[in-house]
Amino acid sequence: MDDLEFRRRLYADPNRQDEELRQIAEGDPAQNAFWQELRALDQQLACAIKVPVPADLAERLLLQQQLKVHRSARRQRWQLGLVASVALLALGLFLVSGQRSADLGEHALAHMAHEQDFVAHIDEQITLDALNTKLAALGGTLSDIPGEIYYANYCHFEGVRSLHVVMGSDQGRVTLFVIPSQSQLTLPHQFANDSYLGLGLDKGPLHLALVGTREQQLQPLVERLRSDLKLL
Amino acid sequence: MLGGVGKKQLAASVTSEMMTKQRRYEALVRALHADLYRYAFWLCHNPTVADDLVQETFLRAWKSLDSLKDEGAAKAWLITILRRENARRFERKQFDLSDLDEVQVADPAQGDPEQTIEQRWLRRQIAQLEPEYREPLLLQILYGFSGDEIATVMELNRNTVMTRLFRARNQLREAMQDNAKTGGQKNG
Repeated sequence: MDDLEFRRRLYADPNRQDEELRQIAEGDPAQNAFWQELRALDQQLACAIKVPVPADLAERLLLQQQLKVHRSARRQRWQLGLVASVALLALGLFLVSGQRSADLGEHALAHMAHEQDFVAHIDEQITLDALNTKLAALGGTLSDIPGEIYYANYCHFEGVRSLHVVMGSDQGRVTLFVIPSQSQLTLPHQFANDSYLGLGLDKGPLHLALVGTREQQLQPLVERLRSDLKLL
Repeated sequence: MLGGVGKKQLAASVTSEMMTKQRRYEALVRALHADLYRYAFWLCHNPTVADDLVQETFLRAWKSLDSLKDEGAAKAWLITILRRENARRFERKQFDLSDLDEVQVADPAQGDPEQTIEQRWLRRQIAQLEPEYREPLLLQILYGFSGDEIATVMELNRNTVMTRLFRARNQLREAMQDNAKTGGQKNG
């Protein structure tokens, strides 16, 4: 290797592990000095390149991403709400056309089918007080609940303003619909489709529909609801 | 019956995937944001623009995080996104603000004052390198990339990369020697 090639290689990468270069440097103090000089230059460069980084940059990056996820989740929720509404409208028209009669159990199952993606993730951390404020508008109140409340919002069953609640329990997530009995539709004690099983309970002027998967043991939860739900 | 379980499990696994993605992202941000910012700074010479570039880069990274299969490739992947964002910035014909003084103000005086002056001088020399020489040098020194890795990121062949590295160091060394001859009069 000639002198030029030696320097060329070192200039390109002074920190390379190159046996050939090492042997030349060992036998030639001038070349060795050149190598050390380039290494020193690299160390200086490494320091100089490290310009100060804004101290809060990482936190801002994480915050920015969380806001973005939050925004798109809200948009998605709105879209899902729209899809569910349109589906219910279609179901309503179907029923009005008189080709088939449906009960509140089927309505509840339709709600489940159209909102399952959305309620599987949601956690709005609703307090019992907040739930009861909404429930009061329908004439009921709950003294206790089996677990977390992930979601509680009004929805419509055949034009009747009802409450859609997603909550935790020892059986996992379950959905409760509270429907004032203002329509002709009745709620069966049990209803099911391929995906879900629901139990119905009438308490005064309120229908309660508790829906879960077919593996969940809903009966004990229904019994709790029966005793914990008071009419106002 | 099975359909219900399947959907439930799917929903649960989607949620846990989101959690995993979130954790991956957070790990990437924490481990790689600082050097990426520095890289961005040396591309644009402006702290504000560098900050924006890094934000844009990480937002895009979040969106396509699923395409990053190997965490070991994360550095090169982020740099590629950043370079593309920087190119877009030029397409948008934004001002190429060169503001070295700003970073010098922001730079905390580390060590003795002599070293700070030396460092400031060296930063000016790095900034004055042609971008095509400066970038491979940054990838080598800041990221420890090999010639082949630099060639991949910059879409060049390896020989070109090595030549540019040679020229970059050669220019810097000559500048240093000139500076030493004139007794550092050109400092600052």
